[in-house]
Amino acid sequence: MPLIVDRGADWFRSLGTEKSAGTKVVSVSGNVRRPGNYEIELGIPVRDIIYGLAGGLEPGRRVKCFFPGGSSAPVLPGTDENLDLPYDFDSMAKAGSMLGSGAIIVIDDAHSVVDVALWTAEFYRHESCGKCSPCREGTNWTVKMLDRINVGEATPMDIEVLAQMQANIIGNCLCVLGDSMAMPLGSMIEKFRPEFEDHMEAARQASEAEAAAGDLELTGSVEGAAA
Amino acid sequence: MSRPEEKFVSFDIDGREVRAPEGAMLVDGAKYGDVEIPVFCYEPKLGPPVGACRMCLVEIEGIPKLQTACSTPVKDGMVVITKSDRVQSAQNAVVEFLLVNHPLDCPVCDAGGECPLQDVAYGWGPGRSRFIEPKRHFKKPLELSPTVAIDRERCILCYRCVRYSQEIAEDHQLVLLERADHSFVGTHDGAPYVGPFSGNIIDLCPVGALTSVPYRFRARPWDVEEAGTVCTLCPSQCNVTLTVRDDNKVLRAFNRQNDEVDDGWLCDKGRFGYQTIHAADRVVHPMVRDGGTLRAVPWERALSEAVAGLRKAGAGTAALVGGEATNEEGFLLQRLLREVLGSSHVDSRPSGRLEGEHARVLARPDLSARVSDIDYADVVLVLDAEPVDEAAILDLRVRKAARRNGARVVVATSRPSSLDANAEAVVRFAPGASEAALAALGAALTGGAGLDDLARRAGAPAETVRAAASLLGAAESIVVLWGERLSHGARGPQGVAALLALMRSLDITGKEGSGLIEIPSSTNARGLREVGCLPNLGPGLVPTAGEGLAAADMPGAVGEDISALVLLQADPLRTHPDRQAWAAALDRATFVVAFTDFLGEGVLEQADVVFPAPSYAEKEGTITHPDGRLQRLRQSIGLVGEVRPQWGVLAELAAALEDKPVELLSSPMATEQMVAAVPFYAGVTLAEIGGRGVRWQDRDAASSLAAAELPDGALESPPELGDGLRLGTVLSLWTGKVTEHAPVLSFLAPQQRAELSADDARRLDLSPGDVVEVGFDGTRVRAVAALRDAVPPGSVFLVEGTRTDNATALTNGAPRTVEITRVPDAVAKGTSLPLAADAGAADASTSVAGSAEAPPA
Repeated sequence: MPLIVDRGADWFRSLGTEKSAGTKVVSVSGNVRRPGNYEIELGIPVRDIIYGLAGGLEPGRRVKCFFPGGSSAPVLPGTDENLDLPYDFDSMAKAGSMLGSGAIIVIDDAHSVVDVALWTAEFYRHESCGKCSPCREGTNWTVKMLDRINVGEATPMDIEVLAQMQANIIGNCLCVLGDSMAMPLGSMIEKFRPEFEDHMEAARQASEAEAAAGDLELTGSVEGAAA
Repeated sequence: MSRPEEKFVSFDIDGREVRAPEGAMLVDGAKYGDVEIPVFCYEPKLGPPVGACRMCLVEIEGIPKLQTACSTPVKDGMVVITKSDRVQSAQNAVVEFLLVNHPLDCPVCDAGGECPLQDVAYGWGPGRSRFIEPKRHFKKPLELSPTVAIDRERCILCYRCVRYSQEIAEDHQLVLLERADHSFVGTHDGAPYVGPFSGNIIDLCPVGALTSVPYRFRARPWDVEEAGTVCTLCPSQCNVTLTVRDDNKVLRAFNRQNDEVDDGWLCDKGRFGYQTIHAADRVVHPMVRDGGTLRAVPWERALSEAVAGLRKAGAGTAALVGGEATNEEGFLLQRLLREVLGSSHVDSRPSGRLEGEHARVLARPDLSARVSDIDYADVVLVLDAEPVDEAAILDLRVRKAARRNGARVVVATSRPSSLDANAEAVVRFAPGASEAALAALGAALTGGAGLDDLARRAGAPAETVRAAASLLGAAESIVVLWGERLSHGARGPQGVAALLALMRSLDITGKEGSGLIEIPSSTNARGLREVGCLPNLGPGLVPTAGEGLAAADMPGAVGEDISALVLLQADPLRTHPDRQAWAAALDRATFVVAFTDFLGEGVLEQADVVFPAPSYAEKEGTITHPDGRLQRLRQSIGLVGEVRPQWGVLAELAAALEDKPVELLSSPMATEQMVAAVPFYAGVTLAEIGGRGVRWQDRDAASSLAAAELPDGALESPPELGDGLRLGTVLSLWTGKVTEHAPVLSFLAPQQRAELSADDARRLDLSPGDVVEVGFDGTRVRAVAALRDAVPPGSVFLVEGTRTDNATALTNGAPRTVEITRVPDAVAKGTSLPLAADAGAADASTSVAGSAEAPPA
């Protein structure tokens, strides 16, 4: 701020890109070695932020996906193409996400996207005030469904339902909290559907094996599904 | 604010051009084009929309996102689409979301068959469910109160009940607790939701989450029929629908919205009081006194005994008419007395005498406001009345005017009012000093001469009178809700004169949307007066040749000029001042005929002939609302037991006394005769009254009421206040048959309470809950002491009409000072009054709503 006062708006505008002028403080968190707040010139490649300023990932890990602008922004897969995108408002929007708050959350390939989806959904379920129906019931249903995928009681059809549910939440709520869950969740399913399916199938097989091996101990979730 | 003018705009909905009022929400505007947009949380009665349920999403051209039709006002040229795939998919989605946690237990749900959720799910839902996870669970059903059960699993969290409690009843008891999918409706501390209007949440609930305790599991919608009529349990005369089973049993009552009367609400007395109709101890046979006790007899015997007794008494017959009597019944009774028996001793007022000139001025169309004028008044003056106890639904109306339209409320009463919190000015005068308070207000409005002296006589601080007067003086429109009690007692005429003088100083007849609305002491008080049930005025408020005795003068005359008493749904031992005088009069009277539905003590001990009175659900006829609206009672069930129509019994008595055949064959004939006798009702037909009623002031015949001038003579000087503790008596919504004979309301039965200030309690060494005796000389009633902050020192208040310890034992219409003494604990324990642990608390309920258990994880 003192710099802007000192050097003037034109100087500030000379930084960044034409449509995203100036600088921005980004907050990098997640699987990076130097998480923290960095002031960047808008328009620098995402890669420079994650691998440069934030110190990159642990050795051997690669970026599975990242939230470019807070946990309510649709995730972008960690492809070279996405990592080379200039970090500015336009480019993020064009890529199907948003720059939002500037909080970049990096997820490496050691994590299952289903878990990321669950953490995100749980956060928004907790935050929902409960006033409007799509958000109150949608966040709750999403969490229950992801739980079910995790314990191996889902079918590929459920993933379709989950995806449709996110679409049903977006734009239909009283405020944007519901959208804030549905947008990243929707993007995760869209961009990582095979991983969802594999995760689900693996969980299903694990659960069957457990049932076959063990003394048929009925778990709470089976009872739950029956209820 | 003045009544807004309706301006229409045109907009396009689903390809059709529709004209709708400007500013109407799209949901309502769409109805002008026969387009239905589904809603759950939207209910215009609750005030501004909240857009919470998201059911009403529609597409509006030029706006990228779908919009809630409940909160988007119609604009000229707007293009709305309600049937696109996009809208349909959003509607399907919302229905699916709402059903996620709904148990779908429709087959065992009271709302099944009359449930908006069912209807909307059927009309706008996806038709299938994809939700297979566990639903949330709550302990259920719980008693939210003794009258309302709550099933939190069925709740779709539409917020209607909570908004109602917060913004309509303003009792602030119901809240949404917790958040997200574990939010639920409850009270702050799990206490029962008890209030005079709590039952409205049953009607508001769009699912089966809030159900009526007495109606639970009694019927399905296809087992019952609905019958529209009017509740006669208080002067509000709310329009109701009765749910009737097998043509003979009322199972439920709910509001039948009439914005000119009740604004779509109903108090709990009206909602649950129907239980009295089928009470086991109701009188359903004619009875005569035989060997000292009342015995059921055939009608012929009862009629012939009544005829013999009345014939003997002749002109020595006097009659009291209670507020539940219809216009026709009142008309026929006064005709029986005046034309057949030659007596003018008939009164429908409990106390005081209404001057003929005053009655005609008060009836002036330009001096009377309509109920809906309250909505748009600049100032609402509540004068010597407590609406919530005396005409309950008007309380909500005043709150609405203040909350939504910025009306400024002025309260001028003796007892602290429940509207004080909404008032901008409060004048608290001494009990019985309304005449002086009115004169003081008048003085403050006209320059202030004599104000200090008058305020002193009223026992009210002069500055409060000044503050109230300045609000009144600056108002462009004023509605005055005045309590009939200011016309009671020996100085009643002076009280009315002071009221009229105040109206003159306010130039109320020259102000648009302004006028008086009386809060009478009984339901059909206005109608009964207009059809001739006053000792000095016949039908049409016309002076009669001979003037009869007013109610207050009757007891003294029994044994001399009066030998027989007719009580038409009236119980002087309950409702009339000077209870001992009435008890003695009933004892002295040689012949007493009572038309009643329950045996009060006077009837039980003194009546010679008892005719069973039909309830409002069994009556056919008309009543007149305090604002002049003639309303129609429709018979909703068959007559219970041996009950006969009351108009018919009165006609039969008259015919028998005259040895003529009965000429009055039907209720409509009775209406026709009544209408013909009241010039300003001329030409009114039952068809014209219809289901919504008609104000006679709005008809041409109103001009036949001779224009009486507002008196402009100088007022008498009101009397000085006496020294000592002044007794005020008040009415309670909960005295009388509803709490004594409707089981579900019995928990509200009031016990006698002596409300006094903390100062007086300290001086008299009383604590809340002490059993005390209030009275003078040898006359005393027992009460539980209750401290109330806002009671001014020097006043004590008792309730009129309680089953025991009735305050009317201490009143005779004149201001009264009393003494209070504590009853020693040992003595008090042996009395009818239970020792209340905390008499300062709201009337205790017998049952407690548990707090919700957390849903399983």
